[in-house]
Amino acid sequence: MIDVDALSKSYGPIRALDAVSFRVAAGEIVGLLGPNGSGKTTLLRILTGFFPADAGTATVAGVRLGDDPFEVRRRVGYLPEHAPLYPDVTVRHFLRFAADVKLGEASLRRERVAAVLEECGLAHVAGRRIATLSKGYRQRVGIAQALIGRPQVLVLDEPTAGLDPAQVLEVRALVSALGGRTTVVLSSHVLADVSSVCDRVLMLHLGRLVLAERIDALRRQVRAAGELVLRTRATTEQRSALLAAIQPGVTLLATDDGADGSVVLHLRLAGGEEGASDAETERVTTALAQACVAAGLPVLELGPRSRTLEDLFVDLLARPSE
Amino acid sequence: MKRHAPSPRRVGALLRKELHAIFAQPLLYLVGTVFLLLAGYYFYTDLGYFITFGFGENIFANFFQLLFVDLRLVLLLTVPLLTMRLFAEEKKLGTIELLFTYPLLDVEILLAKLVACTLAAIALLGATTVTLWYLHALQPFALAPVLAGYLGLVLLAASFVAVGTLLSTLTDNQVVAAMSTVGTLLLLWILSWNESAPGAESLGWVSKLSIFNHFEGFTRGVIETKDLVYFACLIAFAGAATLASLGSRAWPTSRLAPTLVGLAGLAVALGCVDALAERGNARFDLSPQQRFTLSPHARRILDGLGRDVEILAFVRSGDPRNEATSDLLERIAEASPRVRQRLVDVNRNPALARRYGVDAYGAVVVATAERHRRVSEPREDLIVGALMDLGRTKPKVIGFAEGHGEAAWRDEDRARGLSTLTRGLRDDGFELRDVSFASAVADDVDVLVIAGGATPWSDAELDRLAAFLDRGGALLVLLDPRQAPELAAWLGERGITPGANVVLDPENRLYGGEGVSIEARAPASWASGRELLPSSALVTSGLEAGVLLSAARALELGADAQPLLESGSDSWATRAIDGAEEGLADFDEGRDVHGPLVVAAARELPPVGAARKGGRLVVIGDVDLATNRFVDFVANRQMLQASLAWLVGEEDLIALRPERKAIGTKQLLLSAGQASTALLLGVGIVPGTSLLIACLLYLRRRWGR
Repeated sequence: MIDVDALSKSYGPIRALDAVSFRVAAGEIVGLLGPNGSGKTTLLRILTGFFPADAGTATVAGVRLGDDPFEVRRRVGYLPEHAPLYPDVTVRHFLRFAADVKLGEASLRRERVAAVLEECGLAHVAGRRIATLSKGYRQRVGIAQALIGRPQVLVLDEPTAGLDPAQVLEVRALVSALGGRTTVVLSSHVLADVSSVCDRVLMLHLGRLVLAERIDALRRQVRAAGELVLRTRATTEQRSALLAAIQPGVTLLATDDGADGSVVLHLRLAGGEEGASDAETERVTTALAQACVAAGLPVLELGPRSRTLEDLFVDLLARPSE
Repeated sequence: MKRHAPSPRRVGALLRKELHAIFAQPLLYLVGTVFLLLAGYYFYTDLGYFITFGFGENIFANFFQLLFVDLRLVLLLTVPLLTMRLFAEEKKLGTIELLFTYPLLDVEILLAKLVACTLAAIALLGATTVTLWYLHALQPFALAPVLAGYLGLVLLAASFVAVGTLLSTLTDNQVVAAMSTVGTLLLLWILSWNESAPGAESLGWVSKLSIFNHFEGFTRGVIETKDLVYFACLIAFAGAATLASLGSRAWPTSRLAPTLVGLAGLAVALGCVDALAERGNARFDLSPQQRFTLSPHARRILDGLGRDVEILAFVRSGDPRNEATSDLLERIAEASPRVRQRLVDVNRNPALARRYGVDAYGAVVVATAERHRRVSEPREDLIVGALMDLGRTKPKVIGFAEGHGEAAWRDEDRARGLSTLTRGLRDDGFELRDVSFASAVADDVDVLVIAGGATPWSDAELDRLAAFLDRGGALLVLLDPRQAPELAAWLGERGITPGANVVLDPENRLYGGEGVSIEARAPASWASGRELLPSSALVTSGLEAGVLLSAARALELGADAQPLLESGSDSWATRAIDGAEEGLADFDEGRDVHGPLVVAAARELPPVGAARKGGRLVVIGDVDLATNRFVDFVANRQMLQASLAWLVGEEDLIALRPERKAIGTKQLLLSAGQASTALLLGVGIVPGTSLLIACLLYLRRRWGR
């Protein structure tokens, strides 16, 4: 549905997007992650035909942007960042305008206005001026106007920014419900948005794509990151003996002194970054426990290090770009 | 890249959105309040100027032209307040991103904004016509030239909108957008503000660039294709520049230079189109009383020409006025087979010029085989006057009585002098001279004019006057209240008695005029049975407007006298002259007499003894109407000219003359009450309505939905 190849864009001397390539399949919900200034909005603006890229090609909903951005705009629904809306018109009035612009047939237009009002939970505020709506409702209006033209691709720029937790959940539910029918690209710097609704995540950093992975694979990767934590009470010699007992396959990453006189050992399993297999993790954990028991050391804590997706991304961002 | 054509559906949707954003918001009505307040105030002051300094006549040159020029300034100050938000607000709100990512073409977005904002400006201009409808109800005027003026204003407003829209795309700050627009428009105006500042060579193209030079024709009621093309080119250029500005979001920086070059090329191309339009210009003159059509008076004179006439205009080759001169001569020559005409270059025909005594460019010589007359300007009324004179076997002589404090015919004084009137009489070929009554009136005097006077007449003088009348002479007497009681009694013996009173009509007095001014018209009873009237009725029956008199006395008529002018039906005559002049005027049942009252009359006397014809007599109960101050008000001059024509026996030459030399047929005079109504409408009701709408919209926004 979306096919991006070596897309680049600069604003004067600043390189906002640097040879970004990826694909999105039909019906997929893709999260675009990255810190502020990483190029997310630039990428979305190119995909929605707001402005063209300097180099590279993008095909959206079967149309090459360079050939016919107008046709792409017809097939894409877009919620820009901050959900810009006309404050002095009513919700219905505004949606009618969007429908008039995007759809040809008059009966279809009426039908779509009614449908998105229902779908986005706006029916009871349809007669209100947009300026009088809460932020959450405005965000819904923004999504409604993006949906009204029955787009093949829906692009949402920071749809949950500035919302309270309940509203965030509503928006996530709304987007999840679209999955399968509509291809969705949403950007966020909130990982939870992405991890809860997206099938796949793309991560931009300084204009480059640093990650493109399915969410479930990422979860597994985090789980299988191959690091173990052992808390015990041991002297330096006892620690060396312990490690020697379970070699090969384990390196000591770091040692922390616990407050209660205990010591925390951070260990990495062989297999490194791709992650050790579950069987290997199990074997090493068991061996460590046995070695401790054999050496008469207490096992205060033992298991895989509990990492989160956040840790993963922070690591990715910290990694020097090559 | 695939190109898409603009779609009426999308433009329609955008237009609805823009119209809602303009017409359903208070801004337009707040701006409108200021606009209409300024326009209403200009309307009122221009009206005052028109009536006090323009004599209420020639509504085009003296009122509409001023009003249109003033509205131009008001547009310049207010249209930028409407255009400032067009793109700047969309940018500020971020909604421009919606428009740019909807399936819309930039040109569709621009078109909708231009049309909607121009419609708003048209609505404001439309509201300024309310006061004009009021004027039209008081005194109908030709609408076509007013429409031409408004067409000019609409084109001006559309150009302002186009320029303002362009500048609104360059910023997201509405104040910056508005101020830069005012500045740019002001610059386009100032370009030709001081015509002496640019050198002679550059003045040509500087004035071609100036918006306002192209607007001027419309204010005169003339639509020219070159001006239409100019405005179209200006709007097209501003539109193209706006599209370039909108499109710049898609540019790499390297596109800036080629785009600027492209716009410059477009400017040059449009300049060429404009230049072509100047060459192939077509004019549509909607001005009333087509300035370049001969008056009925001129036609009558030309129809009656008894001999062949040659008209020579002495000009300088290359003079831009030559075209108008040649137009006028051709028109005159077309009207009569006896007239030949040509333009003569003074420098190439010095001998001819010497023969006719011509020493200045622009002089016109009207010549028959025997005689010729020279007039100073190529003007219809002057040439016709020369023709009238050449048609006479000898020039008619008008004598002005002196020795009793009469108003003098050479006197330039505004309040007392008659020079304005008499200059016109000389142009008509009359010979003017003073007549004292020390001896009998000379035989060659055709008409004697007695214009007021405070010194008493002796019996001997009155006898000489009677002798003049008895030999077939003609007499025009103008007498203010209290003047010359002996002369009044003498006139009473001849059937017209000037009363010892003054006529008042405060309800219908002149706006800006004094309390004792009245407007008199031909008697209402003439409406039926006009063909039964004596020839003297021609003096006033053809007047298209009233005659303005100041402190006039009523006349009592004997059986053979013919009324010429009557005061209005609400008027009355009072003997309390002092009180009336001080403004203490209330009707007193026992003392005063109800109108309408006769204030001008004529009598044709039977021949006496051996005289071939009887004397003719016209009496008017007022001197002021002939003075420099009043003679050009309403139909005063025409009435006096017609009186003299009847008195010299040339009543068949009485016909509508061209009024002054400009456009506009009728005169508009307002009562003080009507002027207040105009002020109330222009400065109160119309802008007030706009303010009310703004408040209602604001309240709806505040407390409503």
